[in-house]
Amino acid sequence: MDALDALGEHRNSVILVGAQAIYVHAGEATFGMVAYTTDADLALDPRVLEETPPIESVMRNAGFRPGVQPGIWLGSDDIQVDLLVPEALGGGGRRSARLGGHGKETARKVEGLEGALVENELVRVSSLRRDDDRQFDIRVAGPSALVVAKLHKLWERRNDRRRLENKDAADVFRLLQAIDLERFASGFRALREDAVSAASAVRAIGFLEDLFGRAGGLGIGMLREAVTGLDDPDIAAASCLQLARDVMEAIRR
Amino acid sequence: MLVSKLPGDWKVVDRKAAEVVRQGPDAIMEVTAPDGKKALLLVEAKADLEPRNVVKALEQVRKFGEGTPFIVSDFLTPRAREMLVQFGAGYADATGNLRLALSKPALFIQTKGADRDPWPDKKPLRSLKGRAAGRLVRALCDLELPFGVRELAARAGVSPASASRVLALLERDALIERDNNDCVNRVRKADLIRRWVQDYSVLKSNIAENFLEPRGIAALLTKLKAAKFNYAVTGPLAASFISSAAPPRIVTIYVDDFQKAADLLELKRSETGTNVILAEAFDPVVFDRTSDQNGVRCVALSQLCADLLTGPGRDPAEGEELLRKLDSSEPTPRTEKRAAGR
Repeated sequence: MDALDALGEHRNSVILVGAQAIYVHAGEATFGMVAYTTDADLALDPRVLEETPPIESVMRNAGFRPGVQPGIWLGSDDIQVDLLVPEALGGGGRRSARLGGHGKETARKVEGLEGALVENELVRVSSLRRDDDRQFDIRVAGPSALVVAKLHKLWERRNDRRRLENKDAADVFRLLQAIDLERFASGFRALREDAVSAASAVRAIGFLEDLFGRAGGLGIGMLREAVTGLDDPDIAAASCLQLARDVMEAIRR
Repeated sequence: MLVSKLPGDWKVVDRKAAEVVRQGPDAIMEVTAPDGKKALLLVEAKADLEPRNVVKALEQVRKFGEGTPFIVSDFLTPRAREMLVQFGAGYADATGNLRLALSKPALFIQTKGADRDPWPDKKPLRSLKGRAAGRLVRALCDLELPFGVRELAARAGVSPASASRVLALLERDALIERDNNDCVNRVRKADLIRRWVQDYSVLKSNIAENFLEPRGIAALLTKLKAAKFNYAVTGPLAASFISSAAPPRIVTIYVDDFQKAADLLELKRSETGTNVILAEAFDPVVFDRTSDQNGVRCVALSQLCADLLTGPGRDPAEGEELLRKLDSSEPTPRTEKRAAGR
């Protein structure tokens, strides 16, 4: 909330992505996992971002300090806010996004996030804290865009087990479970038809097939580990497999 | 009967009194022809002589000495009679079937009675297998006492003869009690269910198939609440509504036709993971006296107990817990009609 408050005028260029966005769509986890996060991932849309006020100084003035990597901001209580820019719109830098006067370390480039700029909806979000009655209308990435982003994250890290988090596979499953098949399919089609997100969406469909479309897929294996002790891994794996196949089939139609 | 069929100058004498045989046949008859030639009949009375027991019965009779075995019974099936003939025995039953063939003195008598048992329900019941027993057990647990055989039969949807036989069995096993008017006035419900599950099993008595609801149990419950077709949830999910426990991982639902229900509920067949079992019931009684639990239709407590007691995993323990509630459960009042679907 502090970050959204601070970003003020820039809120129109901000899209909520990551765990909190997934929570907006999937609500409580349906299979026993606790979906609680206070960290926020915010995507910036450089195409509509105003040049002033500079985000770097806005964040610092609101009490955030830069973290170890570009785009990471730490607030009071160590709440982390990640400012992210889709790879395709992030300019020439290696990791940090080029955002003109907003600062070189302000935001980080992320693969697969393009869809969030294309598929999103305005949602009123309020604080998780009882004593905080602020609420903002903010754009929240749609479920297809969120799945595409998660698939890119998993794919990018697929050969680096230490950087893989089982929770990401569980998030994909939660979205597949919660969202109506037709909504997914139409969201995917919209991403595929927009020049900004077409390339990452098409690649993501391939990732979905590889990671979640077969019983031995990496994503299915991670999901099994994520639910072990909370739910029956066989049921979760079979369910996720079925849903991934249904989505792929619906997209092809 | 035998005497009346013999020519007037033949004689039949009961010889048993003369030769007291402690473990012999039930009677020994001496048949005397006009020329003085005699033959002994070893008479054995057998109720419900099944064809498969004929050989054994005759072996037993022949141990008693020389003579022609002669079996008397209330009713002998055509197959039993055929076998008796084959093994050289005579017979007579109360429906008029009679046959006696002797060579010395030469004699042949045969008359024909019934081919079908006119008293099919006379045999004491030993098992609670099957639909009628299931309906009666359920009715005895669910309905308001007291009631007579006919009322019970009508309300359970079975024949009075079936009701009478099942009640006789249950009375022998001290599971029910009857008053002076022969009305059932006490049912030991928990013990009755324990007795039923010796012959009934949720997995074996019903035809079940495994399915997957990939969107999870919560999504399934939403669909069930809106479902327009006939169904009744049983097993741990139904139990969880009563005990306020968390929903289980696997849900068992009775339906009329599992393929139709699977299509309507958008369930998938899966070999690797199952969270929904659809069961075509042994009898529509599972849909009788269902209750609405949080908008989901669930089987009656008596059915739930039986299903849990014969279910997998921790189900039987849960079933035992619920049996305690069954004994103190409120009966369905007399005014309630049987559920549709019969």
